[in-house]
Amino acid sequence: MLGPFLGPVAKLLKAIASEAGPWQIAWGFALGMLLGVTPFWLHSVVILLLLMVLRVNFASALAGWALFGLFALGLDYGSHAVGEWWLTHPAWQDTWTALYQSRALQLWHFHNTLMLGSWVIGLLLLVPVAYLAYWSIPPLRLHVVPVLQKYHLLRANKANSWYGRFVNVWRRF
Amino acid sequence: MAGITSFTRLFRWGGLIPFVAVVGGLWIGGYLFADVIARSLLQSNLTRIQGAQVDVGNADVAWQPFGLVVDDIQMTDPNRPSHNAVQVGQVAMQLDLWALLTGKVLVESLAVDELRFDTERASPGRVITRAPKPQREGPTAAQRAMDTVDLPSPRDALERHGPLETEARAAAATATRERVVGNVSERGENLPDDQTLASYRQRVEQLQNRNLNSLDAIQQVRAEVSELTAAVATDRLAMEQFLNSVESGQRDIRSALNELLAGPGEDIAAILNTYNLTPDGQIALAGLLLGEQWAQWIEQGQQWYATALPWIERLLERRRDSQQTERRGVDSYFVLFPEENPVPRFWLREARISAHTDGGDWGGRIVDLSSNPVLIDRPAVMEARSTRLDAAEAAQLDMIWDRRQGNQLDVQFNIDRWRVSGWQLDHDELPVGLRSAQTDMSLDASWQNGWTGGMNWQFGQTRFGMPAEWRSGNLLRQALESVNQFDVRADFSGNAVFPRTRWSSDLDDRVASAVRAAVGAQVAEWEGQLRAELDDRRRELEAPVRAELERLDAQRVEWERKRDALDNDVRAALASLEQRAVDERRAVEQRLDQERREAERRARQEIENRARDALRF
Repeated sequence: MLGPFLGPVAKLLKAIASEAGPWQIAWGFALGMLLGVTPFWLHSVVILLLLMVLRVNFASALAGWALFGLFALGLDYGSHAVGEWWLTHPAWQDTWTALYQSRALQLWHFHNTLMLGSWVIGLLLLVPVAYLAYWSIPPLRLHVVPVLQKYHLLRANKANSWYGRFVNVWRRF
Repeated sequence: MAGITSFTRLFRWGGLIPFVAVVGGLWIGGYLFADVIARSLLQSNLTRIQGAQVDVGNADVAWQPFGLVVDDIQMTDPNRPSHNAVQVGQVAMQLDLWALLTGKVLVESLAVDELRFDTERASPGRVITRAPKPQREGPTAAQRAMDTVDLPSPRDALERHGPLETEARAAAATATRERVVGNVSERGENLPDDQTLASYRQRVEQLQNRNLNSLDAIQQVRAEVSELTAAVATDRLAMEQFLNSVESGQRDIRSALNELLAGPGEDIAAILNTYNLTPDGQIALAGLLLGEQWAQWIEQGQQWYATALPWIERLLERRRDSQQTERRGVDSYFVLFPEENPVPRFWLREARISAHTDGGDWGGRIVDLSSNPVLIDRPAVMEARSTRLDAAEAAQLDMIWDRRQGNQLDVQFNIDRWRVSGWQLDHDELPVGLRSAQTDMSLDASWQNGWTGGMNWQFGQTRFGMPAEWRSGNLLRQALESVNQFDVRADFSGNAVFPRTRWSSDLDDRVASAVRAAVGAQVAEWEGQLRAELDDRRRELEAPVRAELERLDAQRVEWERKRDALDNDVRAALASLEQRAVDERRAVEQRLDQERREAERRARQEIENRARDALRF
């Protein structure tokens, strides 16, 4: 039952245990959160591009994506309500109408209630999640990681997994 | 310089390569495997919707212009897995990709070719959910009615009928007879015998011969007359009371006899009613028989309607102009804002459908079916035309669905010279059939806050029939075979959820008339036999009552004669004798008075003479 949660948590803990900087891990996790709370669409490709070209921790991004993807199952109702409220708010009709005239902007589905609401929530959570992750890393490295290492829970033959091979190739760049 | 370095350290440009590799790989994979993915998605989703296995032969995604061609779709019938409910040779659609990416479905063209129904599958399909099939329980109303059509022999009919009214009334008449006999016998005990009556005459004669020359003799005669009159009066009262009881008894017996005479008639009416052979029963029988088919059609139509109702409601409902998405079960939607060339969220510009059915080939067209007709300012038009029909000359369906102002649907459906054959007009156990007919059907209905309109169905050259081996219903067979035309009319009303159809037809009247004509002679003969049988029983039962009535009548006549004789011979004589005595007495008294006066005159004369003589001296 806890299987879906354990994978992302393990990835996150491995990232914390790695030599990556705290900000790299924290921003990777925050961008992964943004991927998780928003529906997969064109912007997701852009966020993936950012994760690739920015020096952030990719493993923590994948963990954030997976964790907040599960979290979004409950969050979507609130996201839809926020998006609907904003899109149908009389004061904003002119703005939305103006944006709607661009078919390129329509392509980003800003006029979808769930998309807009999840973006609002994701962006509001982005910096707090990044800071929360940043502040959480030193205590975790100090108290949790040694215990996990003691019980060999973070050991894995990374080279034998597809993910490990991908990371090994990536590190050469 | 440090800022540039830190900015440079922010990026790892080498990450672009795996990104391009991943995205490009996905793009190429999607491009290469789009057909397989589309086919798989179609199969799984259609199977889920259909509730049974759906096979898609091939799917071909075209990118420029964007579209999809799907070949050989076979949708298993959940109720008959060996057959397909629907089989489509090819579906080709062309979509506006840009509109699709911005949350709208704009179908530029749709062609559905080789649509077939109820085709046999190469192997039975897998069923996920089986639609419940309505089951009939027990005999139908028509079957129950038909069970009584065959006529038994009159004697059997009387035996089966149970207690007869005739017999009950005969028993009542017998009881009345016995009661009357008792009353009359009781009164008869007080009647004078013939000797007494003769003695009255003798005494009268004796009195008449008496010499009434003195007051004493007259007084004696009067006393005897008075005594005799009293005795005669007592006996006459007894005779009168007896005659009254006889007449009253006769009235009672005659009334009971009349009741008894009417008994067979009522028994016959009840038996005819039991066998549905009264005029009302014949109409009811015909109505039941032929109403069964309409009821089945209505029931079938209601089942189809119930199946289609969610779709109809979804289409009829004036929804917000939005596109539903199903991500994670949230009813999110695209909010549409004013734009220069607005496009509704769904717009089927034109669809072309060709279908093959058992009865012939059809071609259809749907134009401008959209989620928001106000935006395109056109109603949706749907039409279907027969291109080849086995059993009719032509058929056409035209529908105009206008939701620009409210919600209005106009439907016209016509079938010309439809040669009907082998229609079962009833349940399988009662194979009444419309063997053949030719019919013109026209349907004209509108929806606007409710259904209005109707359907006319004119049947001609009709031939009804039943299998020869069917043992029942010979009379009905004759009746049905004589009907050669009839009309059916259906009037529509009600709303989308609860549509109402009121059927009317002159078929019932025609069949009822034919039943009466065909059955009438046989029923009349049967009724005659039944009546003769009942009359025999009645005569047997009424014989003692009638004999008693005749006996009472004879008694009444005899005692009326005796009473009249008593009145004439004795009472009249006594009255005459009384009068004579009175007259005689008056005559005697007058004579005595005259003699008295003469004696007084003489005495006075004697005294006067004596006085005169004395004076002379």
